[in-house]
Amino acid sequence: SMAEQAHGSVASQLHSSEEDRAFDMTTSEKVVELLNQAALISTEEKLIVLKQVQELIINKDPSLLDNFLDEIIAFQTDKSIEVRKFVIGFIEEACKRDCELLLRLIANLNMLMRDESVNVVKKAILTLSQLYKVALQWLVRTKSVSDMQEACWDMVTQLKEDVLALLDSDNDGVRTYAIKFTESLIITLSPRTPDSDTPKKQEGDISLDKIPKDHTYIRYDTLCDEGKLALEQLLKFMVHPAISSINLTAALGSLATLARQRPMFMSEVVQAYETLHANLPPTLAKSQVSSVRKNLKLHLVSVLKHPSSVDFQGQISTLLLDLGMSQSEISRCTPATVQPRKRLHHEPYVEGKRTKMEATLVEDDDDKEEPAPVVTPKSSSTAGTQSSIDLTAEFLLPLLNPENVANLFPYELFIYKLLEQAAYKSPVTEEAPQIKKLPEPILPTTQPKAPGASGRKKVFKLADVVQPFSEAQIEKLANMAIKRILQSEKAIAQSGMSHVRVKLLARLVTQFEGGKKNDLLQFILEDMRGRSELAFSLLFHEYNEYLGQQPSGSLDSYEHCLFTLLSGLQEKPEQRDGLFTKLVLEAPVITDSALEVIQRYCEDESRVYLGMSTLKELILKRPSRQYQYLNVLLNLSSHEKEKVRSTALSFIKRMYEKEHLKDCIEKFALTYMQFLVHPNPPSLLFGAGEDTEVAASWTEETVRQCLYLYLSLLPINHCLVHELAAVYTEAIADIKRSVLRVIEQPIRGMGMSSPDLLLLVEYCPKGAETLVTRCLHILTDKVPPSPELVERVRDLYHKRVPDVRFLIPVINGLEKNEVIQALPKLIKLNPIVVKEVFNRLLGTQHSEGSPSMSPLTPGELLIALHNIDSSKCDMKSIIKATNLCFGEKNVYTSEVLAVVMQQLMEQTPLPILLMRTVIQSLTMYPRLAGFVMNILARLIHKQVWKYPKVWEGFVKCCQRTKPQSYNVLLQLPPPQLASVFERCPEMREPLLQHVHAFTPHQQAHIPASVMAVLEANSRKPEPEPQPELHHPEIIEEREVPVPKHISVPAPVSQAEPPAPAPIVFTEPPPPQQQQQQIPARREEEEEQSMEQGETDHAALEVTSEAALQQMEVSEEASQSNSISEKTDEPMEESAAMAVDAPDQPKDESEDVLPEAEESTVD
Amino acid sequence: MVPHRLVVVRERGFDVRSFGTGTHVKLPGPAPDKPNIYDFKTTYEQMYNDLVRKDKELYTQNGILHMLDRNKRIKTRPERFQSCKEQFDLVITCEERVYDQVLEDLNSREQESLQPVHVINVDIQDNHEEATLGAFLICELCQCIQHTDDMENEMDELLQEFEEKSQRPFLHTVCFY
Repeated sequence: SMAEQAHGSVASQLHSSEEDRAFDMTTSEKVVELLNQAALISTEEKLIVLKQVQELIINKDPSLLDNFLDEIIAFQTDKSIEVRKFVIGFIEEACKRDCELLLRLIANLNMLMRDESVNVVKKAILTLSQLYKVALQWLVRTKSVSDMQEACWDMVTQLKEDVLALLDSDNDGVRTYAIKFTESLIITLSPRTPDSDTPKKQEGDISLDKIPKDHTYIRYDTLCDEGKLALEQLLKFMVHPAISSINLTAALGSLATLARQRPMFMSEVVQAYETLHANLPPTLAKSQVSSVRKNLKLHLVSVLKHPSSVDFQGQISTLLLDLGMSQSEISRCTPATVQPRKRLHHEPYVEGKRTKMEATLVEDDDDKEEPAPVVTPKSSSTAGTQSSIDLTAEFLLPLLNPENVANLFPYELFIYKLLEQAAYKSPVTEEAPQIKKLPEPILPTTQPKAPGASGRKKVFKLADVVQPFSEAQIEKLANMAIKRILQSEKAIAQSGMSHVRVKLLARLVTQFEGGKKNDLLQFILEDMRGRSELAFSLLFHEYNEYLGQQPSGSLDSYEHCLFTLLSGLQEKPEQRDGLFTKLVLEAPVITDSALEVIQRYCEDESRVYLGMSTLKELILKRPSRQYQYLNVLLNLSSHEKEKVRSTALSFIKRMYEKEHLKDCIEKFALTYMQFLVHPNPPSLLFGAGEDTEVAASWTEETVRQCLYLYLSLLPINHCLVHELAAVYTEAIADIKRSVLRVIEQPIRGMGMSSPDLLLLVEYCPKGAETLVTRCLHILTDKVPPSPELVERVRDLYHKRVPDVRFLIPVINGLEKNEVIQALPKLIKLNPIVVKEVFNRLLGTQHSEGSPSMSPLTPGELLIALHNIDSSKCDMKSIIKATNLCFGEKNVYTSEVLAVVMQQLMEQTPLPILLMRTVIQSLTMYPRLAGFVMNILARLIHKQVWKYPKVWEGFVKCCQRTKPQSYNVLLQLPPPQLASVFERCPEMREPLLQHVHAFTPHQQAHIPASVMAVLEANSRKPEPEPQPELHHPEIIEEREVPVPKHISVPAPVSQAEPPAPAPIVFTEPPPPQQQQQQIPARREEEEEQSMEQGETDHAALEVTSEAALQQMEVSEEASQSNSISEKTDEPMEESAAMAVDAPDQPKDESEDVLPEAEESTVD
Repeated sequence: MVPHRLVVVRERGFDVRSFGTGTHVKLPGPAPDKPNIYDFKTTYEQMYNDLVRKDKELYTQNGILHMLDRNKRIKTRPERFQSCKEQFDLVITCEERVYDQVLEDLNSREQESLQPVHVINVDIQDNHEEATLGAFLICELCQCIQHTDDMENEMDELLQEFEEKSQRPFLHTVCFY
């Protein structure tokens, strides 16, 4: 098959046309594809596709017929008349191809025969004309006719009767078809004779002459009678005074056909023509009379042309003359054989032929009136020496085949009764061989018994010894007889005649009322498996009985039988074989009570699958009531037992693919979902009657109940999602919450490429915002958003609902500047939400999501936060946001932070939070100290003192980083250095000592003005204008080379490498290692600076607290939070952090520096 | 000037097809006794070219060329009803002689599906005025039939109405395939 596939792919490359590709598919695949198409297309196209399917499975590969039968037959409920007509045509072709299918399809034809459209009915009549012959031929071929076949033939017979009855239909067209059916029926049910003018294509058709007279089920005599009766009906129909012109035309044609194909009816036909000609219906219009006469002429000519018209030539000629035909024309149409001169010549032949034909007819008739010709000449020659009993025995013996005996059983019963009666009533028994003689009276012999033939004086008279039984006696005897037949099970089985016994019991018991049926049913249920054949037989007979009583028959008895059998099976534990299924599927009709048993079966957890498979079969194969069956299954989809429910759902999902069931399933699902807009759950959900008032409130469980089916359909049919949105907007808050909880699976199943889901996002109905947001979150939970989804959300956000929370799920699909624009709004949201936003942006949300997906690098994010316009967002929120960044130590490594600081430092004006970030970075990574010194030095060049808040931070940073910062401080111009000492007087003395420790050469580089500030306390009064003058030079000189000149302790020398190359720092350990090292490192930090350690600690606490809170808040809370409006709800730690409102600028300085936070934490 | 004496109507969508029933196709010639005769194998294209060659002006003026031009766009050549094996629901003829030919043909076929086909004759004289009137009449009849829900049931009544209205007798019968 690999080779084939390879070949196939090559082939498809070579030939790109669709037909060629279709060629590569198997027929079966092609059929499946076509059937799938057929479900979705217009009637016109559907017919074309279905015809292709028919061609494929009936002509090309009939082995597929059985597989796809149900799928095709399902179209019999199609809305289109043409499609239904197609199904009828298909039934015809299928049955012609495989007669066995009649067993299944005859019921469908029966249903279609009762279609509401006359055009369908008409087509069904045509098909029955064909299938009647097919069915008859099939049964005749079958030696041992099964119960199913019998039932099938009975139905065909019933249908035949129905169509004959349609000769009285109100519809002119239907009557026309009925006439043609009758014609065809008469041809079939009469013998074909040598002079029959049979069309070539019908030469193989069955006719009465091919029916064996000893067939087990088909009765030659009955058929013969039915044929004659049909002819009578047709003739009677023709003489109706108000017959329509078209019916009359059709009937005239039928008679001509009959005369040609069955010349035995020639006489009746010609007579009918004569009658009609003399009495044309008075209701015909003038032109109709012309039409009819024209027809009559045409048909008379065609009859005349038939050789067997010889005896009627005179009559026909007269009629034709009357109709305006010339004698010469008539002569031209008369067959040569009937020319008077030639006729003489051919007489022997014609006579012989006629005789032969008559003989056939006579035989046919005789057969009915006389005993079968089994009585051989031998019997007549020896009659005198044989007793009449022997003679009878000889007559009977050949007839005693099993089937006949079975048919005789009721008589046997009767005989038995007689015997018992006789034995009881007449104690005077003159002779022993009485028993032997007893059968005599009941034999239908025409020969009266010769007096004294047996040597007895007294003539035996039945009436003398027999009296009528009382009701009770009959009852008792019948019961006993049945009981005996029941008990003879094993004995009969050994003789191989079980089927006879089964048939007998079934036939017998259906004749009786009540008690006996129950006995038999109980008997069957005692060993259902062993006695299943009996069960089926009984059921079919009950049904036949019902059909026989149509149209007034009652199904009660049948229903009782079916119900008892099904209940018996249902109540029995451990029923492994599929008997229940078989019984359900083979039952001719499923009654309401039977359906209840099936439902109970489905509700049994151990049998749910089998039960529902059976129900499915019913739905698919019994279209007449499929919606009722489907409803049972649908109701089970919200069953309280999980197993029942989930099985039902999976069955329904498969059925949902069937076009004709789709609507019904969908309607049910939507109805249930729409319950959710009611204030209280409907009583239906509690299994209570529909009238019961239940004032319960909605619970999680009842909400789910209403949604099970809907949610399982949703991934198959996405457009249903809009209904959910509609219901959602109207539902109460509790229900909304429940809905948000249960939609995760189905929404994920739909996927973000679903056009309907995208549409919902785009047109997010008012009130469904939270639903849409939830959907977005579900969709982007595990995978990055698609550009399509991002586009829709962007549209929604910009054009319809400007709620920034919509952007969160797709944030990684947005452009960098879009994210930056949205940042001010985003960071004002609830902290947990902000945390989520950052998780997404930083790729810390889930393992699969890589940070590269984010439109912003972590560094860019942090920078963007610094650059948020303070008019758009309060400082407090920005600080909280930056803290979130610092919380992600794995992401914000020392390298990332170095780049951030570098870039921030290069900005003009300097961002307010710059120094806060520098200090925090330093706290996290103390080895950044050298780098930070470099930053500080460069800030001096940027005249950092012009930015009060940054300057404040600068000083604090220097304070923290002493003694490394001493060299930086020495680079400050004297006024600024003085300003530093004003803020931190304790710094001056150590710095001065630091300078004193310099070598004289080094000290020489310190300008006097600086020294003056340094020594301010000791030598304050000494003004030194000189150094002031030098100051610019010194600054100039110091700009780059200063660190080189000064020999500094080791830590300071670290500051030597210029800032732009943060990579030169010792390589940081890999992330895991780093994490493990955190405690140790923190200890180190604490050793270095208690303050720093504490800050770090506090920062850790803050982040872990937030994380903890997020974990504590269950999924539910996070959802409801993320959708709640209270975005500015303060959190505890933010209360601790925020000292003042941002609109108080004078205090802001405290706010922007970490110390403020630190102090409050302490 | 009814070019075809026979119109066939097929149900559902009402495909209309036209046929001849004779042994040859006859088109008007320069005089009533000099028709142009072709067999059924001749295409409309060939007829057209033939007539153009013979007398373009005459055949343009009497509309034959126009008719042939229209016909060749519908099908290549005329069809003979007797050779057509397809099944129709309704056959309309415009001449009793043609009606008889159709009936004879249909009745001589072997019955198989028993599907009925209604045959209606509307007599139309072979002159301009009649042809135009007849064409409208047939067109209207077809439209009315098209609008019936159940053609076979309403046919009888419909035809009688038409008869009365048009003051001409119709022949109507049913045959079976």
